[in-house]
Amino acid sequence: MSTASEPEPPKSPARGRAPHRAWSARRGPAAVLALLGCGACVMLLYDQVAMGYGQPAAPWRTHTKDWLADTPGTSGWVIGAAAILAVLGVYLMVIALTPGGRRRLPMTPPAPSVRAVLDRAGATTLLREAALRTPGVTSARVHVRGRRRARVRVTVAYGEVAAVRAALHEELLAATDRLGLADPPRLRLTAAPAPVRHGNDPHAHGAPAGSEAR
Amino acid sequence: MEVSRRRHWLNRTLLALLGLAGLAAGCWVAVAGLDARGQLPFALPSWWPSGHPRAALTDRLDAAGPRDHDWWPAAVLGCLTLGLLLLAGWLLAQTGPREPRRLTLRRPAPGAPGRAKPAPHAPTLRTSALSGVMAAQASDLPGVRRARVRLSGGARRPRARVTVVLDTGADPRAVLTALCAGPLTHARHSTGLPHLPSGLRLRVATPGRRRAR
Repeated sequence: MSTASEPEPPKSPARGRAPHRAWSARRGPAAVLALLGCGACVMLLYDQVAMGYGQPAAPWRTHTKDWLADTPGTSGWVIGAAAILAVLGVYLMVIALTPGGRRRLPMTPPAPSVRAVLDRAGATTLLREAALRTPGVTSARVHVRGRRRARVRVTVAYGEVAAVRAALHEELLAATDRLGLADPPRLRLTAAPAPVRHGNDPHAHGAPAGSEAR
Repeated sequence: MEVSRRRHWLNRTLLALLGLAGLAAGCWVAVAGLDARGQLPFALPSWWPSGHPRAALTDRLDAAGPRDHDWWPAAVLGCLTLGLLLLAGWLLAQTGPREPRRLTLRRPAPGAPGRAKPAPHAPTLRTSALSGVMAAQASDLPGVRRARVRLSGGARRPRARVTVVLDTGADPRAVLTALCAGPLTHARHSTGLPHLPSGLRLRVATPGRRRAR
């Protein structure tokens, strides 16, 4: 159906040997957890000090205590909360052990002390602009998946689909090369002729059989 | 660099430990509850702690009876304060690296361009002056809409972090090359630094709606 094509290797010699992928520092999740922990500590501390001065315990504290004491461990709420906690734990561990930073595509560094990344959204925009520059292409949807693959779906309004597709391929290869990525994404192109508008169906984007050019 | 690497490991370790703790506690409570309901589809291994975790914990607490001692409130206060301090430190560690106010300039030694040593009374430069010039030069490059430069690290070993927003028709590879040849190299030359480690982030401005069909 559609071609999975390897773009021309860029002129850089570092092709095939992606630079060390920068691991995300996970600042966001760490900040959220630290903030939640700080909040809990402050509330407990405030209440503890107040109790030290003879104040009664805060309502939220007695409520929680009573609820915990009254609710049996077999309650669906307790089991559900525990299950959510376990899932959160798995999520945190996955976050901690995986590199992350999937939205930043490493570029071929022009100098050893320079590390450069291009945002995935930016790469998507540039590829889309390149696709729209091709004559005959009226709409394009680009989806850069992961860090290795780019899926481009275009609608061809005029011209022969195969010819437009070939031109699009050229254009996108050049555009991918210009991105300067250390690990250029493989392109998958799908070109479909614009749907003939009979009736009033704006969603008639379905490609007729055999129209996806090879 | 060092700070960010330490923060990286701190974050990763703490997240993993907290995740492990949450997973263990959640599994313990959930499995114990399901077991008590008789809804567990498998038999628990012999080493699994019997009874409900809450009962196990409160029983142990009551048996040891730390609440009866008069040091208990003080111990709770101390633990809470310590926890708050540690958590606040962790939170503060997430803020970006500090910018040194001034950079120490080096005079390149004759004959050895890479071995510039700071003079005893080395002249200094305001960091914001340098980053401002770098950002201005970067914004003037073709295809660059705007640029922001932050210098972090020590006064003698700064690190540049450059964020560049490109036009939608830009050529990222060319811009990257131009950035290295332009602002980064100028900054290195004008401060006498042998190298300026840099992290560049290229973004692309969101296109307008001009291509409506």
